[in-house]
Amino acid sequence: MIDLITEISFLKSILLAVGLISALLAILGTFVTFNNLNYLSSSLTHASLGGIGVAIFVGLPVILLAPVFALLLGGAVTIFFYKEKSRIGSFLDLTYALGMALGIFLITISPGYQKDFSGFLFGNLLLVSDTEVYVLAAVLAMILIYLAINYRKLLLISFDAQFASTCGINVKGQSLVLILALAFTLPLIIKIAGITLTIALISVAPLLFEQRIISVGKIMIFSYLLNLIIFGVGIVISFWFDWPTGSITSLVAVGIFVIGYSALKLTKVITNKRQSR
Amino acid sequence: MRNTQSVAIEFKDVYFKYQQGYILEKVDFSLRKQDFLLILGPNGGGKTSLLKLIMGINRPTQGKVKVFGEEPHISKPKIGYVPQNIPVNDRFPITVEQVVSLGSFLSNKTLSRHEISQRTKTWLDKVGLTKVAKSRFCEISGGQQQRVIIARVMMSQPEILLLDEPTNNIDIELKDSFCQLLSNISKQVTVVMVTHELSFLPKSVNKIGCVEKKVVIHGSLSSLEEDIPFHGEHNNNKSGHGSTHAEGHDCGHQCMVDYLAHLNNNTNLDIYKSLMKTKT
Repeated sequence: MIDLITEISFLKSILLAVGLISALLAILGTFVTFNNLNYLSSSLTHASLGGIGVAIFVGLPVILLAPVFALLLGGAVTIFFYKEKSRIGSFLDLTYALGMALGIFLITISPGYQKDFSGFLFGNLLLVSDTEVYVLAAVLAMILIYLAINYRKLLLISFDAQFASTCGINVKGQSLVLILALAFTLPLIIKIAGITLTIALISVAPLLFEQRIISVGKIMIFSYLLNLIIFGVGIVISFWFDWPTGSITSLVAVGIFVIGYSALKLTKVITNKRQSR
Repeated sequence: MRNTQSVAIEFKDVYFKYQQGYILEKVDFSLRKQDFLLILGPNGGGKTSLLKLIMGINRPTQGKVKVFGEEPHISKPKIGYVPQNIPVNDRFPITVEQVVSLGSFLSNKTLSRHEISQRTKTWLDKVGLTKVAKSRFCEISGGQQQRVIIARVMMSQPEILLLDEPTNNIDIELKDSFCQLLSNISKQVTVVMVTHELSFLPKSVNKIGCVEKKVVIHGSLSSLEEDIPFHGEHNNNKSGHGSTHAEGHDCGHQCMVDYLAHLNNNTNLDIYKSLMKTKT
């Protein structure tokens, strides 16, 4: 009986984590993709390992220290983004290198810590804790409230930042909030889902749905549903064959993208041919 | 009948320079409500700088610019600006209707959802794009996009509309409807349009400004003709415009269109220099 309750509670944490991560990546991924910030988010995702390394090295909870480290990096990236926009790619490369190198170095020299880096690359859903679920839920709640208040402003900034600025909207401030939200959330997610799956889920759904849907809000909702499906299929396959969940789910995400994208393009070609006849 | 009572834009002995030197010198003119000023001039002549002075983005090095009697930055909410290039995120999933509705942010008062929706419908109708309201912005033509941008600016009901080369993306076949749209808009607001395309001449243009460091405003065709008469070398053109203009001055809008079209065929620095000729 106790075993059953523990198992249900364990499953509940996994399902909640999957639901929360799917929602967070659907929202942030949509803005990242449509603002062409994928390279920035990818660099921040990798650089987050630095914060995780610092947390492990000093013996503080990862969930506490890693987001603070990522926030500092996010702030620096935003400043550089506005000061030296043409060189932002090089700066992001350096951020990536710094975060990864620092993270791996500190984890390696931390006494008594298992030096298995595949956990950071592919995550480990089975190790999700209740605290992590609560933090993810709180972050999602904050992002949803922010989105509800600023949705139209964010839409305008993403579409035409110059006009938004003319309208008196604080474009730099709003962009800073977006990058900081990304910086704060990514280390929380990669601890559970891993770097590879996080990067895949940020882009896959928005890229697929932008082909057919002309509404950012709807794209977010459909992205959330697709992320849930990707997680579901990945978890089922990994349990069935006893394969690693993170890497299988990442492959499922990319596979769905390739099939979905090809199908959409093919449908478009067929429709165009029919119309031209 | 135009309301000629109140001054919308006023330049008083304005000089403006960038680091490399003066772009505008001794600019002195004023526009009244519902005036439609067409600004011509060579590249680098100071046309866009002039618009930026009106918007308060540039500050005069010397002299005063007033918009409705106030500093331009105070009157900013009364000014709508359509830039030369529309620097939008082209693949962004947004409908034409949404783009127009986002113009409500320009308004100096908070609009209710109902007001935003009503104004959006009205402006989509006025610019003739109701049929494509639900289409993706990036999938409509350049000319339609330009109309959407004008509708977006008009959502805030500005009292001055500044247009910087708005005809760049417009097909020649659509020029009449575009000119008609601008003429309709100018019944309500002061319009200042920078262009190099003289074949786009809305009927309500009542002033033509020639900008090349200095600004010379021509209030009528006869004033233009005084500066560039169709006598001598300009008179011997195939279209025969010369004789038309030589016979009478105030021959109306079409006459002005033909005249400017002729200039357009001969556009070069000499023409602009002639236009810039200050009367003695």
